[in-house]
Amino acid sequence: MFNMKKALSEAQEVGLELTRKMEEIIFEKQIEEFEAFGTELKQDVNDIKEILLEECPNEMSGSAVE
Amino acid sequence: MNCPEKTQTYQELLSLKKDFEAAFVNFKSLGGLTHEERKEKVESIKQLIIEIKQKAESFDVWKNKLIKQEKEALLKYFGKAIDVPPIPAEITKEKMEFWKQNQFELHYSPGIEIKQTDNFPGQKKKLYDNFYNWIAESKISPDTNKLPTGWFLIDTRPKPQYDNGDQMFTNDILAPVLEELRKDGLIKNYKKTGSRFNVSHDELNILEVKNAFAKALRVKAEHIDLPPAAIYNYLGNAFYPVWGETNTWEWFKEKFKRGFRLSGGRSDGGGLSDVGCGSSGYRGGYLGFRLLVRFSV
Repeated sequence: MFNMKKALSEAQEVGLELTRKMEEIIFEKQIEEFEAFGTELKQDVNDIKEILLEECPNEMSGSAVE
Repeated sequence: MNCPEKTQTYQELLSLKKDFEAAFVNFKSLGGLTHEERKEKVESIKQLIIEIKQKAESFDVWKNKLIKQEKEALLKYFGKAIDVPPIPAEITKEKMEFWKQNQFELHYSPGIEIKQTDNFPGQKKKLYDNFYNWIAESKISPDTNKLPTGWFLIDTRPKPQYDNGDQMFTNDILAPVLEELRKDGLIKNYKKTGSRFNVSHDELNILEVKNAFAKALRVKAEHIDLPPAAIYNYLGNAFYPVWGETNTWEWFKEKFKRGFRLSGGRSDGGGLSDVGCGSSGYRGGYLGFRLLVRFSV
């Protein structure tokens, strides 16, 4: 005999599993996005440092810069 | 910003960078968070990113990168260091991104005269002798061999290979504009209504036509132009050799005597070295155009 309660509980379980998977995918995507930003930021900071070393050599040599 | 302010901002940027890196490592290692908790963490990192971007933007990194790139290209081409002035203030990052998406790039042209006898290291395909003969015979203006001075926006697309006049420039931002101009009768109709081929030099100089191009490219109509032969040759050699690799050709800016205009770029006529001329009213399925935008120095 069809057990409505059991079917609902199974459907709920599937739904929860799907949500977990979706969240996992979103999390992975988010990590990728932040990772890309971090790489770009590293490059930008290097470029800025180069600009400043050229434009402001005195201030750059006197300050604790990376 | 003066130098102390700049170094201060740089220090702040370094500190924010460290914050971001720590937050990111922390975020990656997090497990068992609820959806809401995770969302909260993401939002706080995103906020940090906004702050970092604002700080970094004050240095105009993209402008400096572009100037550096042009200096390197000029050094490679001319074999000597050439100074490159700042990018005009009217050119914003947003505009640059829009042009880039549409395959337009900004370049600096140094105002150097290119003589027939010059052999610059980057001149792989020099303009043919007929070009210099025309100058000597006063058929074209005596300064036609001089590169203009300033920053220019140029359409970087390769021109297509001839295909019975049906060939099109790819992903062409001007195609819908040309369709409208043909519909309005400002440019003579053609089997391919959005085509850059079969357009005369005269039509390209009609004010309404320039206005329509300017609107599409978000620039001023008075700055819309066709590439001069010398700049086409320089940019082709330095950045876009592919321009000379197809058998269609394109209009150049300059006048030739008797109301003719220059054109070139045809692969079976010498590619980037090729320069010919045709009546300003001429149109044909082989002959197209690319736009160049001048900016005030």
